[in-house]
Amino acid sequence: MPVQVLFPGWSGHSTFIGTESKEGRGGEKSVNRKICLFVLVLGIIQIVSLSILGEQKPAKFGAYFKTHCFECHGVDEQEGEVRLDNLPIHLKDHENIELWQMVLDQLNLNEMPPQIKPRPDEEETREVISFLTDRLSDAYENSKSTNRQTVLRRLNRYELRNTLRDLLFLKGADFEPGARAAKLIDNNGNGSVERTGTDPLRFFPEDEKDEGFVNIGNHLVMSDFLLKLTMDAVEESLLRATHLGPFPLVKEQRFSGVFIKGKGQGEHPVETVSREEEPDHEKLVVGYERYGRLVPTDLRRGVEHGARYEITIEASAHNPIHSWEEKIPLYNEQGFELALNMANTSSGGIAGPTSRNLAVWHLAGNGKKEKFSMEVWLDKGWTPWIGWENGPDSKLLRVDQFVEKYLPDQYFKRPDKKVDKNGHEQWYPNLARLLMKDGYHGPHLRIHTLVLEPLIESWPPTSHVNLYGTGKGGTEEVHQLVKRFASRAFRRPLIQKEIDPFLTLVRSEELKPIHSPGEGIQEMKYDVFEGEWSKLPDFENLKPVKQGEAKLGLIDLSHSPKREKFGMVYSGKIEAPMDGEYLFKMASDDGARILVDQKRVLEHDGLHGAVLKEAKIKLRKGAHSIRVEYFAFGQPNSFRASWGLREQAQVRLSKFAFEEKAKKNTQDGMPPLIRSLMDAYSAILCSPKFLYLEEDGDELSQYQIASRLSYFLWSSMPDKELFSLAEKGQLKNQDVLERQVERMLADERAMAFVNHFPSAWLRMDKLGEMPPSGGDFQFYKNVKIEPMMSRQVTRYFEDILRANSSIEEFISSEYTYMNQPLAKWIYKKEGIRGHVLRKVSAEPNRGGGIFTLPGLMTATANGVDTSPVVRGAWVLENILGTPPSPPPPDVEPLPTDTRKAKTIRDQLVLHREHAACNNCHRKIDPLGFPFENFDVVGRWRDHYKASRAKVDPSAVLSNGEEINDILALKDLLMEKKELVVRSLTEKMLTYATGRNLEVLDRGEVDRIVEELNKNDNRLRNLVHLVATSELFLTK
Amino acid sequence: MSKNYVSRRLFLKGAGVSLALPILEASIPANSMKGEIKKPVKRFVCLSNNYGVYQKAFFPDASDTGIEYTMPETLSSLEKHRKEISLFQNLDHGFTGGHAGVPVLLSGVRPILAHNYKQGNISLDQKLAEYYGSATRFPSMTLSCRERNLLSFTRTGVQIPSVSMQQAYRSMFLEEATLSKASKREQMTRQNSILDVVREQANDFQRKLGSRDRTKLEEYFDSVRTLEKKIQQQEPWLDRPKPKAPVEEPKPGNGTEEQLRAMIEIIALALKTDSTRAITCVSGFVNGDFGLNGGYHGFSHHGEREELVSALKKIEGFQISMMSYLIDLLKKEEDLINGGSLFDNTSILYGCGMATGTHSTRNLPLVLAGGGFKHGEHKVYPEEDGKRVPAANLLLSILQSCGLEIDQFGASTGTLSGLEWT
Repeated sequence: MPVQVLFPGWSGHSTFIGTESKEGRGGEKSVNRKICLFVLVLGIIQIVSLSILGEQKPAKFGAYFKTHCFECHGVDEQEGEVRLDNLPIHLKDHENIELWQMVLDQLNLNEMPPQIKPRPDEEETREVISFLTDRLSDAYENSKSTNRQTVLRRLNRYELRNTLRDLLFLKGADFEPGARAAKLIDNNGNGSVERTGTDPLRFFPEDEKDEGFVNIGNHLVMSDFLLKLTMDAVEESLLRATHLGPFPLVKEQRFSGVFIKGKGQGEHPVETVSREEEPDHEKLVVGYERYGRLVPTDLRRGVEHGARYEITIEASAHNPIHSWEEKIPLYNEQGFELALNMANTSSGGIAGPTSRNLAVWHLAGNGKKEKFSMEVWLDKGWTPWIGWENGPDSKLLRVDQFVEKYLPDQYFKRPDKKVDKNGHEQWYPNLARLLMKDGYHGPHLRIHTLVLEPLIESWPPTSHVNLYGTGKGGTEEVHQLVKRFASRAFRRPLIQKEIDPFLTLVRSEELKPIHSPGEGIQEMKYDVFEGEWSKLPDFENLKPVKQGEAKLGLIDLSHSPKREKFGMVYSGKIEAPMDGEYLFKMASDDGARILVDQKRVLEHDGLHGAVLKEAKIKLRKGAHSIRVEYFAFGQPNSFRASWGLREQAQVRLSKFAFEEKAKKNTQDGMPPLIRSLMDAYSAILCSPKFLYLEEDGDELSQYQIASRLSYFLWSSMPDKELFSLAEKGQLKNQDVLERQVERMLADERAMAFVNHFPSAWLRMDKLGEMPPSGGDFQFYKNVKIEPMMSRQVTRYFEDILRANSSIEEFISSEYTYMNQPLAKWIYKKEGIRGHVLRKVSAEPNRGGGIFTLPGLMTATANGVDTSPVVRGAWVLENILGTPPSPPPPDVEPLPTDTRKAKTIRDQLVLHREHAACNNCHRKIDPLGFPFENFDVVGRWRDHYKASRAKVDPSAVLSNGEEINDILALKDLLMEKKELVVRSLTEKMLTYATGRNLEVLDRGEVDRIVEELNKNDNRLRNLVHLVATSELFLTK
Repeated sequence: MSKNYVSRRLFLKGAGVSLALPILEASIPANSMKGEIKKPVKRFVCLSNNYGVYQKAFFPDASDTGIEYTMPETLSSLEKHRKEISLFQNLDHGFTGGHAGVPVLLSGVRPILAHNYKQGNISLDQKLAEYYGSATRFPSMTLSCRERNLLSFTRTGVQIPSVSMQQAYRSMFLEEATLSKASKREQMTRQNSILDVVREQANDFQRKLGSRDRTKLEEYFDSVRTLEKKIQQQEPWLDRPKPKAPVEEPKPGNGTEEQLRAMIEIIALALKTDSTRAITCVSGFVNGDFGLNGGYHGFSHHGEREELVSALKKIEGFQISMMSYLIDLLKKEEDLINGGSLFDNTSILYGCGMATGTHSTRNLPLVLAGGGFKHGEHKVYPEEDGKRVPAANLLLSILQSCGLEIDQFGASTGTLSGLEWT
């Protein structure tokens, strides 16, 4: 950037703090003149820059240097080769800034003047330090200026992911609005890490941060490394959007009666026994923690196909009023809550990090069956699961205690393990049988049916048609497809010339149509044989033990009742879509062969593991008979097979197809048309026009405004409606903008704003950087409480946004949000059930508001210690918007010999006695002390754990005012609410525009704050004011 | 005033506070493109942790300089290599910031100030990786052992994610299936043709943009050009057979002890097989190591409490013993390119960008071994402000010893005085 000219017409070298040597040393008049100039220039910096405090220049600034410095650093002597009398008096180039910074450092360190010289007046020194500190920090600020413009902004990780989602119509949990970027986490503190997600950008490094913001244009960088990751992620996304297979054979799945076959894990004895005795329904009798999570055994590996499903549950609730009140709660008032959740079975399952709630339904409790349903996209491998959200704690529902109390004459002690092993093991179920002899009398939920109905509206799905159209190829359609795609990707209309380069990647000979046969075997029949063979027997001469047929079927070894030593023969028809050469693939364990039209195509006989075999065969268009023979020896056994036109997609013949993984990273086996279109799309998605938010000229175009809006509230590309308004040129119209903001906030994509903005505003990004571990904090990783803490903060924000409540509620309120683990582990509170956050009254000692939520207390600690300095600086910077100056460079951290049982307070008192530190720390520390009652995970404490010293949360503010505790601090923040509102406004403008605010933006900030105040400082109003502000609508 | 005084604030020099420099120069040095590298070929290994050291057991007394210093407790396992190591005192990168110092170890430049430097906050290993280019299969290896490795940065400030031991082993020794090789080659060709198209976009994009935007865009196109070159450089490696694995794939050990030991062996193998010439490896701690209960970070805030200090000494002493083990291994291996032992041509640096667990970044723990330097001394540099020597000088010395003809690296003011190579 150009150096800011502080005083036009002046050249730097003619203005010095002291005299030039030829004027002679100590020329009083001249020195003073120069000093005045210095002050004047610095004064101008002050006006031009962002200094809000505007502290006055010290009266004897020049005299101070003359008296204390020039003797050794003047014309005659240049001690340490440092000369100050001719030090240029402006801060307009880095050399001068550097020199003045050095002067400041020496003063801060109290090293100059040397101890042997007369001491300067302490007050004067403090003034000089304070003045120089402010001016220098302004100068640094100015050096970062981008002239109030947003610098060409690269899409950050989550923006890129969301944009790919909307552009390519991708679905699934990886693309949930508001999902954070996948990262590696160490779930159990043993150093083995897992990724929180599988989105295509999972390998990206973190984006460059500026004060917690990850969307500031000039900070986001690109490198060949990142570009390579981008190319790979783009290819993977395109593959995910491509569906070459035929209409998948997804069947409705219906579970009724007992869902859990065999011995389920972690079941409660009552549930286990009820399964034995009442096979017509599943019974849930305890809530959430270890038991009472219901997944049908057949869904333990999740659904087989990613698709939209309608999930319907039929359930009833029983015995809200019961006679066991002493042990477990009544449900007549609170009612029964049935929770539908989903989780990825290959990533921790229902207790893992991917588990999340979809809905909570209320049941009347009258024993009548009620039906609930919802539509949800389930990725392959995901499963829905049912929980009783407010069920009784499993700790309370102990069958032994129940029987002992309510059936005392039938109760018996647990048999000794050595005497009666079976009786010992069966003790709980036996007691449960007693308790349930004439039915279960406690409150419970009965789950009668769970139905998963796939909802596949069209095939191939939208994501595929969007990219490849009809699949017939041809120049015209291909050009249309590429043009439409590029226009959406670049978020604006374009001219033909812009598309031509991408079309060069689609070569004309590759515009042939796509052909792919149907999946599975038509009119499939199967025979199951039993026997022990080491090679394929002559099945013709054997008698099957079982036979079956399926109109359209896939080879599935589970058709055999036995798991080993069996044989199978499948026969039916396959349809070749055209004349040509076809490729068959097979991997079997053990021997198998495939025959087409009675001719052996592929054979791999004998005992062996599953090795991939391939064979080609020419087929004419039309139906052909197929026969597959297979035998299994010892376990494990498997069979996979597929076929298709050579160089085109393979479709499966067996239930288990070839590894999806291999397909994910390569275009192998794709038809040429698909491949070349993918290349064109890849190039479009690697183009700077896609990867950067293009904003040229001072005034934003209609399309650029559409993008600003969508990246502000959705962290993604504009949708159809925004594009259409841009086309009509209506996006500068205030009413239109306001309506769009409302519409966009109501859309689920607004969860991006709800999650990412508070993270930057309150530095939630620091949560998880230094997680506590071990000892007293082991629960942190075991319970996986961090994501819940994070959700608690965003939920607080979300509800204020949705209700358009006042920003004041961030400071203080009567309520807060908790779920069972948070209540139990952080608040030490009983009686809150389930994982869904509930609005509850705030704890009296800490009060409501967002700032003392455990997630923020954890983010402002370092996993080991809390520091009033860190939390105080956080209050100044993030809540009040008046950041303290950074510490002088050579300040060493506090001495940390804690053996002497010194509290942090004692240490900081010492710290503040130092003049250099006092200036800032008298402002910082008092705002941090009231938070001392919160430990590193936000639990309340009255004593420090290590030293056992009592926590003293009181503080004396820099103006002498005393505050006693956190509640008093909240009162103080309430008094200063204008600062809180202003700070939030500035942060939101930064987030919305992708640039840091500068001095001249102040006017617009003032206007917004004033407008906001007219209407009780409501949060959604702020979003409106930001989105319609001049700052937002200009580059 | 005199211009030649030594300032700690050199970060402001050079590029200037207000200039964001376009990255115009091609990123790949000419010599690596030609495939001609000066001999001897040098390697670099950095072993690091993320929490600094307990200084009282790490540094000899400041007056105990020269060759006859008493080996401090933590370094005791290096006694047998005394003549081949150098200890440095009072070197650091000249700024505070606690944990923020950790990623700065090998660059001397804080990420947020990177834009002031021509080459950003590129780390030593990446600089070396650029220098050697395609001479080895892997330009660099960023390894982690039960800890995040935050050390490696490209010149545009992108952090290189680390790989685990298994990933390193497999990519070094296990041949990929022919099919996957072919599809990799196909992907390379495809991506190169895509980059061709993308590069051509430069012209019609830049019409109306302001200078800052153009700078950003230049960064993008520089990435395109560099990536194209890298893909070209990598392609030949697809056909070259991988070295035979001299040992079986190590099992992931239980604790950090087993794991780091196995990792050190992998590092030695990587150097022996000339799979790479620039390695960083950061190790940590998991609950239960050395029979200790707690967390590394917790120990590092020891407050001089005995049980915590002794835990730290155990962890750090072990890390140093693994450095010693690596020296042993490399001394035994013949250097097939240069002759002599591998150790003669490998600089091994142990260090951390945060000096102590108490967040001090003054006087970084730094121990250098091998690499053809004249070793054996405990060197104490000036402690006073204004006379302090940037640790970046040590980094520059290492780079120069590797054959790079540069006279500045990060905030260096020259090579490290008193450190000579043979």
